Amino acid sequence: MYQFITGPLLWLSFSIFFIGCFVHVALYIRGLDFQLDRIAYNTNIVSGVKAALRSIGLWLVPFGTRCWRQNPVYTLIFYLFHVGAVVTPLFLSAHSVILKYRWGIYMPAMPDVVADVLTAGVLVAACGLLLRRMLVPEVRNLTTPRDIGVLFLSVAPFATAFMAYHQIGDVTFWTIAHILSGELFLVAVPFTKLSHIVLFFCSRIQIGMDFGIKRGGVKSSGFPW
Amino acid sequence: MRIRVGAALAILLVLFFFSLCLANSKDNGGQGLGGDVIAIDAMLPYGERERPPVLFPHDRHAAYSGETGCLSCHDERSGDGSGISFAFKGRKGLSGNEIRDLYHTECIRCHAEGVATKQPTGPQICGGCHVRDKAVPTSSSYAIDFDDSLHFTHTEKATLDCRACHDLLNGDDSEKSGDSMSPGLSSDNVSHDLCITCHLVDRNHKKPSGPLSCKACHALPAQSLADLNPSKDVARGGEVLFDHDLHEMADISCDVCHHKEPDTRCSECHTDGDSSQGGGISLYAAMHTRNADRSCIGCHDEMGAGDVDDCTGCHAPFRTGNP
Repeated sequence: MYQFITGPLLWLSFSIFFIGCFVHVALYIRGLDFQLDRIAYNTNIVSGVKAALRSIGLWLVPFGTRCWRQNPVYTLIFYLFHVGAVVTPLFLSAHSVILKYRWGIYMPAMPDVVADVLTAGVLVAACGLLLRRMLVPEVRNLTTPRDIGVLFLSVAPFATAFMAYHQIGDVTFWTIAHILSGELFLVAVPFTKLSHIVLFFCSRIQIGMDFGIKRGGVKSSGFPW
Repeated sequence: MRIRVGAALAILLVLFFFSLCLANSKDNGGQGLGGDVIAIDAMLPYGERERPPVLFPHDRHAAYSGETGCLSCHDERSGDGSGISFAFKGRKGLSGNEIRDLYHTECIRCHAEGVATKQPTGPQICGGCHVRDKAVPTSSSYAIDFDDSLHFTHTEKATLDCRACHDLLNGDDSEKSGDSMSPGLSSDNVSHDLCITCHLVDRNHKKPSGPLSCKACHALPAQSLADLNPSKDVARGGEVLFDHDLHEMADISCDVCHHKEPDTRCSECHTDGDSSQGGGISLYAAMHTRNADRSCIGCHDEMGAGDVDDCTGCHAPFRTGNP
């Protein structure tokens, strides 16, 4: 069981994830039309790249854009969720050990206690995001069961990892559940809104260039769209 | 819409609850805490550990060591009849995370090979070996019931000289070469080094030998052992019947032996352990050091009694045969 899910199934999951993400990015770029969008991407490349990087940078920084500042509670919940969700799996000591053992790749690792706090943060923030989807009218109206499912799919690897790390119940069960839910997450990325993992950058680059090249973007630093 | 979201949420919560109940119904891991369990705490000197130490069931692993036997996990010592190094294979010279990586690589590799060859094997997941909330056994958790019968087996059947064991057990390894002992062995480990090496060398030479498995010697929890031997302090042999009158008649001053207050017993300062009391000189060394004029052997040598090499000149013989 363990051999299979950390062998062929893992490779299949990674393949679907990376190919799916690549296809998403390729289709996004292919869908751009400078005539339709009326953006001179090629002739104002420097202004475009500057504005694109500015848009990405400021949207990645907490309270970096007006939208973040307008919704401070949501911003905190959002960052608590995403910082833990991105940083923890990449720099977890157990993952680092596996990378070293499997492929000889060295990854710096954070102390387990930090990873534990970040994981708890993801779980708490996920509850916050769920409540927001259920309670805030303008968000509830846009919410479909699929969105709730995607949220659970994203949280499942962290909840199972928390159980496995603290050895609450059967550690083998939770570890297997953690690996399977992680793989399910990877597979789900290209087929759900989780594709924002790559499409966030695409959108920000496009909108950043759009507003950086035209709409007065070349005249001043302007608004970080 | 709200009903559908609520229903989906409720179903997921119910599933989560049942999986929690299912998961909690099973026990963690399969590690026991028998006499063969060794706590692998090699990372202890390098700061706080991220995970609990691995409680390694040695006998269970030794049973699957195959044709290579001990050498599956241990290096052979140089020289004939030197046995094995008790450190894990390849561990010497490593430090910090190198040690951690070695254990991970070798343990997981072996466990994975077991799966591939459809042999009984160990866990490959973190929590399978790093089990939380298990009491870490100490070296004294499982003592050896080294009774008269076992002593007889060693002295009469194996014809071992007293000093073959007692010199090393009491911290005098002056006659053993540095290469023979594993470097950095604590005094607790000297007995392992001594017994297992002797048993292993005998077995390698196809001679009758003592056991090599942990539980064959460490059979009983220390508590049970104390219950079995309430009279362990009663002399069964080996005690010195000291003739004070005879020593008074010799031409030596009282304060040669009574170098503290006259009523102070030797063992009050010179203890059996590694204590720094008594100038760091153990009771055994205080009595047996050859180049000290205050020790029994040193004084006998100086007084011209000749080289003392027969223990039973002073020590009462042990009872022979089964008790």
